[in-house]
Amino acid sequence: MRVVEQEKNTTSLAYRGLQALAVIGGVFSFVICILLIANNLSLKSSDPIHLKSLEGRLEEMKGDPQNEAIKLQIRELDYISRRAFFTSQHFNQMGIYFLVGGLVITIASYKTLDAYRQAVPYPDSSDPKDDLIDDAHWARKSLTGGALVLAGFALILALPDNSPLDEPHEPAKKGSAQQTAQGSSENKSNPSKATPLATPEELAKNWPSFRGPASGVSSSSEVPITWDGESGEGIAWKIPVPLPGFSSPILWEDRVFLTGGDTQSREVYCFSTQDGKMLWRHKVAGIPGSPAVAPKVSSDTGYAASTMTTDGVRVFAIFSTGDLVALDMEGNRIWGKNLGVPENPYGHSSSLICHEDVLLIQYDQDLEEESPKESFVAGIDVTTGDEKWKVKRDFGPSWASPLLVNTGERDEVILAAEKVVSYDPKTGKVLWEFEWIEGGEIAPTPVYSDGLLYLCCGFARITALDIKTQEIVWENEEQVPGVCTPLVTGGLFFAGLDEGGIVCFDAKTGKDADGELIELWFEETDDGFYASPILVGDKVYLMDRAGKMHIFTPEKKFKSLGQPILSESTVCTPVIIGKTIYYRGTENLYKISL
Amino acid sequence: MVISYKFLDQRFIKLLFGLLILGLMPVVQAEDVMRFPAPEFDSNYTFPETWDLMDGRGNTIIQDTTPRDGQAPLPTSQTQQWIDVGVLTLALSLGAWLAVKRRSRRGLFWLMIFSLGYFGFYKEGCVCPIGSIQNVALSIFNSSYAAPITVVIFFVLPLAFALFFGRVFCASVCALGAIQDLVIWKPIQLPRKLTIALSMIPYVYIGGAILLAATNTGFIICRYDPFIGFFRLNGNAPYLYLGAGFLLAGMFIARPYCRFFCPYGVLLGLMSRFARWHLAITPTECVDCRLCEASCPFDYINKPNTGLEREERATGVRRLASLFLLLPLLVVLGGWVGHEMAPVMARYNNTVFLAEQITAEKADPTMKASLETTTFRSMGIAEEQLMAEATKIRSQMNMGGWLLGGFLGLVFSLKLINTSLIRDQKDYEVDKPHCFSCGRCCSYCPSDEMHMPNFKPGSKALEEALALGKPSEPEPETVSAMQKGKA
Repeated sequence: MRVVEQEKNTTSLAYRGLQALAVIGGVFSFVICILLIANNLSLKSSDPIHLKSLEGRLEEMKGDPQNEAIKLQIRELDYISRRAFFTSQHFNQMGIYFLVGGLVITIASYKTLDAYRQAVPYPDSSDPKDDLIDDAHWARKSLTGGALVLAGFALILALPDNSPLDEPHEPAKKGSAQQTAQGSSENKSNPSKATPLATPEELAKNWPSFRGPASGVSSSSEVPITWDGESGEGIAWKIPVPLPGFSSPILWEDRVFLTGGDTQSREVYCFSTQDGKMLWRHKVAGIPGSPAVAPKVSSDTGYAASTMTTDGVRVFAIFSTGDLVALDMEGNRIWGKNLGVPENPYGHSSSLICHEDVLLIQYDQDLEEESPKESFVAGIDVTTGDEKWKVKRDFGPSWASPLLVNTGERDEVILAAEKVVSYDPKTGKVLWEFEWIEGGEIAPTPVYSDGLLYLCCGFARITALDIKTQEIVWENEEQVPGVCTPLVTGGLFFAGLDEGGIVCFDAKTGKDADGELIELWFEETDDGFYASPILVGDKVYLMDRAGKMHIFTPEKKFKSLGQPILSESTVCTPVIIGKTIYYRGTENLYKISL
Repeated sequence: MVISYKFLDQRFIKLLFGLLILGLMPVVQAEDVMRFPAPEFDSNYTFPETWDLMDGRGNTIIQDTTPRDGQAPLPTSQTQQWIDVGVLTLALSLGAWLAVKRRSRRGLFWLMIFSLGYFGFYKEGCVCPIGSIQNVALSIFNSSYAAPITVVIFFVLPLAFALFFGRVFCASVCALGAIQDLVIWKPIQLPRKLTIALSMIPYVYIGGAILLAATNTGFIICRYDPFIGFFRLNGNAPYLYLGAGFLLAGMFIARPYCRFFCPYGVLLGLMSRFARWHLAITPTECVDCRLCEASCPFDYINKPNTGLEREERATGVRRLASLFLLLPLLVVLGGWVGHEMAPVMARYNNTVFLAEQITAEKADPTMKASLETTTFRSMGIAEEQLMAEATKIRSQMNMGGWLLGGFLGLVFSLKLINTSLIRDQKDYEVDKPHCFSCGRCCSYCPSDEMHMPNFKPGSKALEEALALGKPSEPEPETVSAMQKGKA
């Protein structure tokens, strides 16, 4: 629009006054703005909490915690630095109000000045030469162009976009190479009631639970006897495990499973036996009833102390939070439930075990008066997680794991606690009971061999019990393992002791050659034992807590065959299968192979 | 002695103003919430006040221990809400009277300043009719949410006024419009090609906002309000820069947010189209003087088109028929694009986002757990429940994507048809669906006896203007002389 200026009173005092006001307002705002920017930059760089002088004083106070003068200085410094910081913040707040005020004055002055500059409008010199046809043509083109740009933008955003929710079975893809080789991936990814259970032969070929399928006896005959963790000699691979845990590994075909956990998270891991690559990782969360805050547990137990188990189709894991999950072999959750946060002074550590389609859980808790908690043993349906049976137990906590025994007449699941009780694994029916001990802390899992049941309670006794009559065959109150589950083979009883030393008893009598109720031999070691011994052919493998494997012959006299060392400490019992040992250290999972 | 301010003329000051707006950004950002640990020892430091957001039953929904500054305004009391409704009603009534009856730009300007102060700075931009679209949408599609009656009134009232008096809300009540109106300096006329190309954006915005609100995903109109940071003297830097960008652009492109983005403008436009008592350029009869032709900084004055060459009728009919046939195809095509966009939009939903993160972390065991997933896992909510909820929302979003895309396809088709329908325009008239009723054009009409600030009756300027405004082309010499200020 062209304009001609109307008579303007631009020389009037009011006009000039407004102009001056606008300028002053503008300059004032500008100055405030600069000051605010400077103050803001200073605020951003200031760190009143970590003043060097303050931290120096704090360090001084650590060395002399009773020094009142330093305390006073710290208080003053802390107060001064905070005060300076908040003063700067206050200045910012006030400055903004000044700035807004200045801007209001500037705008108001200019809007008023506009009145002095009002102009008579004049139309364009030319007539409107609009071309309606051309205009409409261009309007359609522009509209189409705009719509195409919008649609194109939308498609550029949308078409390459892949939501992870569209591919819920991503882990299956990752592990597909291995599964294809086995040719059984379909069954694994769709576990259902129709899925056949693993045969005893399959179970025997794998390592489905704590101490393997045969109570600490490996089917292997030839595994390495030398390796060196530091140099890497004999180590096929070593892979870090994200979260800590004292649970031992289990193995099914070409996969090793582990659990880990801390206060924040509990997880199940699956590693490839080939190269140690983590195939999947399942975060155990979102289970109804799971505590928002993890219970307090002992650092010796942690949140993932219980060893997993598998039925060959599913893997099962339990944690110190009471969370119990069943996953398929690809890490997809089949079911999950919380058994109630266990009341346990150290933390839950009893491992899981499967009998056919029943998952057996020993859930012994600290029973206080009027406590709603209760100890129980339960048989859980592996496919649904539903309870098949549950039997209440009237005694306090234990840390041992259930033992599955076939006596030749029947299957029994035997649980060691103050009272040793045998149950029918299918129905939960109590088969027999034995009052064993009072108030002991029982961690080693019972062991069965040749009709005798071996029970250990640290700082108390070893008891050999006739499983049919529940009569004590022999007992010994010396050299008792507190955590390590013993190995009984060839009529000999072997165990590692918490405080160090390996002990061997005559399993039948508990007596030495002189008929005295004493060990056959005791071999001193520098470090103690939490891991359990494994028999491999004619050798016993027993790892101490420092990471040294004690390899010896299962004989009445101690004969060392080697003491290879890992580079990190450990408490876990290894998987020994084929020509390979899988071992969990405090931070890494190792494969030691011939 | 006369002091010369020539060096500080209007342009300089306005440039200074623009720079100040930019300069304000980092300063305002400094007011952002600052987490501060408790003092180690006793001191005079006092903790900032905390505030709780309560539901209607007095249960705490959100407990915020951060300082109040920078947060959304506190929920207002019922009384305050009704006071706001009262102020809105009065402001709209006054605006309608000033625009339609008084035709007073000055009155509308001062009402606009009041509204900026009250609804903008005092109420901190909340509640506003633009954002209320989302409350209404959510309450319609989500039975567990009922929009407060006062919010519904905020949504309905400006539309009702627009139905009878045009967009008086835009003229004088909307704080977002007011802050942009204040900074208009040298408005340029944008090419029509560009304005038409941009005309789809408000429809995309309102459609998207309704979809996201209906699925309880979020209130994007409020989240991306470019001026809220100014009203609250606080905000995140990107949004403040966005607002500053709008204001700077607004110095040359008048009220850009209102014209090319405002979702509420779509509804106001629909209503205003039928306004019987809309502000008119001339109070009597248009003499086609053309003086108002360029008075509208928003380019919302329709020019007469009689006597201009028209398209052959048969060609026009054929085109219209083709466009009508194309309509269903464009609706389906739009629906397909919307459907493709659905997963992307669904990701804006916290539940879907969380479910995707959890699934991604499961798929890639090496991925570090995010803060969100860690927090979720610590809450003890079943993952299956989350996944089921996410699937439900994605399904809703999928359907919504089809509807949104179809709606946009329909709007596009109707716009194409509209541009092909050329209606007779005899006089200079405001573009009713778009006109903000700001009243600027009124004072340019020489027929307005009530307000003729530019034309004193019988003045030389009026005579010249009327003479020049006649349809005949003025003599080149006259124009030249006028340009030199000699007329």
